[in-house]
Amino acid sequence: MTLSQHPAPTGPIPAKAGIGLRAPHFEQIVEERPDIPWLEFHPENYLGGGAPYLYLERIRQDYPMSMHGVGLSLGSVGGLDKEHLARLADLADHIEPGLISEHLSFARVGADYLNDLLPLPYTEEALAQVVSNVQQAQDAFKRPILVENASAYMTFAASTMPEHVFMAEVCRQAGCKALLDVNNVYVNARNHDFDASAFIAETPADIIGEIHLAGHAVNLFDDGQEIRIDDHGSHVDAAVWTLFEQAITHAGRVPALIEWDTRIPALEVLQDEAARAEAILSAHSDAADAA
Amino acid sequence: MLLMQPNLSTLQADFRATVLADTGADGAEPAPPAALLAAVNANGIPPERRLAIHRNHFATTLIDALGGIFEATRALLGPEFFDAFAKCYVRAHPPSTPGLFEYGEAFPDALANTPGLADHGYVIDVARLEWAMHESFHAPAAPALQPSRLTALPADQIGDALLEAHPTVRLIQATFPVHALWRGALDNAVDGDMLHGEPAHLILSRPNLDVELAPLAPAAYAFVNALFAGQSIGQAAGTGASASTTTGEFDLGETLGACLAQTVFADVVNTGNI
Ligand SMILES: [Fe+2]
Repeated sequence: MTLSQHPAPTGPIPAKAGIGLRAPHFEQIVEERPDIPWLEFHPENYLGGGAPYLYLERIRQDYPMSMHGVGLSLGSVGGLDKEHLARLADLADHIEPGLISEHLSFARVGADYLNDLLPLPYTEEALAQVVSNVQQAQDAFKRPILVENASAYMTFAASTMPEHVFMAEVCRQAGCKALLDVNNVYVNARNHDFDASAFIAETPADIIGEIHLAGHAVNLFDDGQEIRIDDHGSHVDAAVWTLFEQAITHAGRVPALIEWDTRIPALEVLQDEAARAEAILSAHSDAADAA
Repeated sequence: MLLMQPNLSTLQADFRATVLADTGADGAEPAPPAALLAAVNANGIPPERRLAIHRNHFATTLIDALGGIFEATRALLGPEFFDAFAKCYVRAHPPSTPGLFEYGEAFPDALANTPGLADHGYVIDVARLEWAMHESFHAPAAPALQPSRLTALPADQIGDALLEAHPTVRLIQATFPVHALWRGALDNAVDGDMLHGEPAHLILSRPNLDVELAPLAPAAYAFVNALFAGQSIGQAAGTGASASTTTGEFDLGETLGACLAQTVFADVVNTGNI
């Protein structure tokens, strides 16, 4: 198979419901050009410049795209991995994503990558490190990024501020925006007994630049203890849709994204989920127009 | 009492130690560092269990990644053995970059160095083939050398010219008929005769999106291998001729033509002009 070439759409990511680009859907997206307002890709998969990159480059010609990192490790002590950052910046120069985002977590310790979004304590020390790392990333990308609240399966005794205050402070000090993952808010609220709705209400509306939606799993230990795992492998939970409506009412209409990474279903399933998000976004803008 | 909390550097080092610690010989989960256990709030679930989520995530996601790359190897070894072996491997060889497509390079060697697999050389051959295919798939795209670039050289300079490998090309030399074994493993159709077939010489390349695999005669393999090692076309032709098992097996024009028709070379360097 070969891929034809034509010029890419320019401009920002529209405030509509996009979906995550995953390898099983490459060919269908190239051949059928389905009606999807924008796509998000994980840059780590395309750094070799091989066949996956050729698909990415081709699909970029038809869709606005957001670059969503999962391996930059914004929370690592001692700064970012310069080599990896340079590769990301190079990819961004070629693909010209409308947005660039990463997680408020860490993955790299020294020379080792632990292939996970590991939780940070919400301390002044971690805040200073993340702010400095975000600035390093923004210097490399020559633009502000968005930082995403991650899911967490533990909290730390050392934390001195709630997660949303930590996120808002990172945004204020580093000059970045927030990617509010409402599924992660809900997962953390359930795992750590806080009020998800208050998390959203107390997050400054003007820092929210994008919203993520995803499904999660409910895991039960032998003794009946429950923990919610952010596995991006199912439909968005009903409670998370409610939080999404709250977030849109709070922040106004911003780009929203359906994430589905494990047990990846047919593209049409993701499009249906995005249509549901789109209906909520439109209902909000209708309400705003009427006001 | 206010306990001393670890700083961020210690916390992250302890996370690393927890995620990468080996499971005991008896299958017991290793205890995380005491400072990390003290840093994590229990809140109804013991810190060990909370940390175990990340230990498991690390192992299962990387085992899955290896299983995807080494699909035929996994079928030949049996999924249970493969996954158990991979579980030890991922902790001994954690990724050094976040690009998982780069992960697994040392896996065929790790299999080869396992005493219990000494009489399973054919599995190692298949693992090396799968890694080469994986590398070729992810190697940067580049135009293939146009034959006209070579024919445009003055006839007396062709012998001294150097040919550069295309980034997607990989050469495979195997003791076993690895192409048939690989195909057979994926189709669940391996038979014992395959273990007694001829050694294999293969060339892989990716003209565009798909990796292509072709057999090479031993002399042609020696020729291409010599070119990639830096020999000129003339020197490599000598290497090819002396690797011939039958007289007249190696034909320079024919072999070069076949290579140029595939995506084998990226560039030609006319040393006569240097
Ligand atoms: Fe997310």
